[in-house]
Amino acid sequence: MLATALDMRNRDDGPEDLVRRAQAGDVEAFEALYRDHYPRVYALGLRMLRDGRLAEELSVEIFAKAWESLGSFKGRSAFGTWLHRLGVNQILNYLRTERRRHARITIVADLPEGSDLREAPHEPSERLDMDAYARDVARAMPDTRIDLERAIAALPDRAREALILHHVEGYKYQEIADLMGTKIGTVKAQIHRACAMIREALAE
Amino acid sequence: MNDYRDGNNGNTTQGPPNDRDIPFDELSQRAFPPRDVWSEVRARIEAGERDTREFTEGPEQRSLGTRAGLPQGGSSRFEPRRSAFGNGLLRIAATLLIFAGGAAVGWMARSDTVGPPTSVNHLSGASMAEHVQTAGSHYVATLALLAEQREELDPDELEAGHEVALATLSGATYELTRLLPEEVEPDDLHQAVEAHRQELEVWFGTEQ
Repeated sequence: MLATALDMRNRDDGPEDLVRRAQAGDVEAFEALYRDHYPRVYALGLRMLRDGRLAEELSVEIFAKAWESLGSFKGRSAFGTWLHRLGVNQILNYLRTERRRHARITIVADLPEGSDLREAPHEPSERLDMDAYARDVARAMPDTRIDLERAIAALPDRAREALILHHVEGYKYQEIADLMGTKIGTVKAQIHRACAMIREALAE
Repeated sequence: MNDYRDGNNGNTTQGPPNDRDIPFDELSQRAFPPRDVWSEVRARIEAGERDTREFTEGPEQRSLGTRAGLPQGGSSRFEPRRSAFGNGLLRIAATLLIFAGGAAVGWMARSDTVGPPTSVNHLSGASMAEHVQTAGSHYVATLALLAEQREELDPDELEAGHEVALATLSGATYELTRLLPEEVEPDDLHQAVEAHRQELEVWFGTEQ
């Protein structure tokens, strides 16, 4: 066993090799991939979810899902690209589910009996503790522009998500539309609106 | 720009040109997470992911899922599976059957064993889900019985069952569009079910 461990340390640990070994069931190789990519996955989660603890929890989900899905990674893109997209999907699914849950809670708790249940979904952004979030961001990303981070965090949920995916993560409009299950025109409008709100916030 | 970026910041063909005045490039791409979560990831890997559908679906839905080709539990570690939240049309379709409950049982079995909830205000999310599952199981079980006995049934009776099953499914798809207003799949399914219903001769005439 010791010889095996020494062999593993002496191997060429390039990204492709790590992925190949992880696909073969090597947890240590997967840990190396985790260490390379966790800072980026956490940054994505922190911005999208606006909650450091939640970003950690979703990071666990994302890496667990990545381990489970490694067999489907064929190397057509970089591992980081594949992992990042998987993370975006996990986070968007989480946010979608949360919106549904809050919509249901609103229906049950707030509406009088017999009301039309088709009320506008609750906007989770209303519940953000901005100061706590800004502290999380400043601690985790000391070089980032906090005023811009705050302006982004204050955006309506779907506009914020679309803007982050486009302007921070570099996804194209069509990709965002596919990921968010909406139309490209909606994505463009949301980002346009988000940018206008950010400009206004930064000018204050 | 690193390899995460499939798109193009400041894209001259897609991005609104006036977005460049916002300093997005001053946002950090990487964070220093305050806590290492590897031990939790490793624990998840070693435990393997449990199939939560085992706890949330009755045997009828699992059986239906098998027939529809839905992924089953106990998959191998490297076999990709659908998201737990379920995005695919097949998953939605299975969900629809879970939601199609009380009316079908009432119409097809003329039974009061599963009545629809009269008010949501006194039900928790869990009890509503349980109610839906029970009713949905009855719906699917009755449909399965109908399908198994189709050769022995009077054609008119069979057609009645078909008509009622579709009407119930249509109601379920409509309610699902209300439940998931932001998603396009439920609406697509509702339109598809409705289109299929319109094509059929209405056995019940105006009695519905």
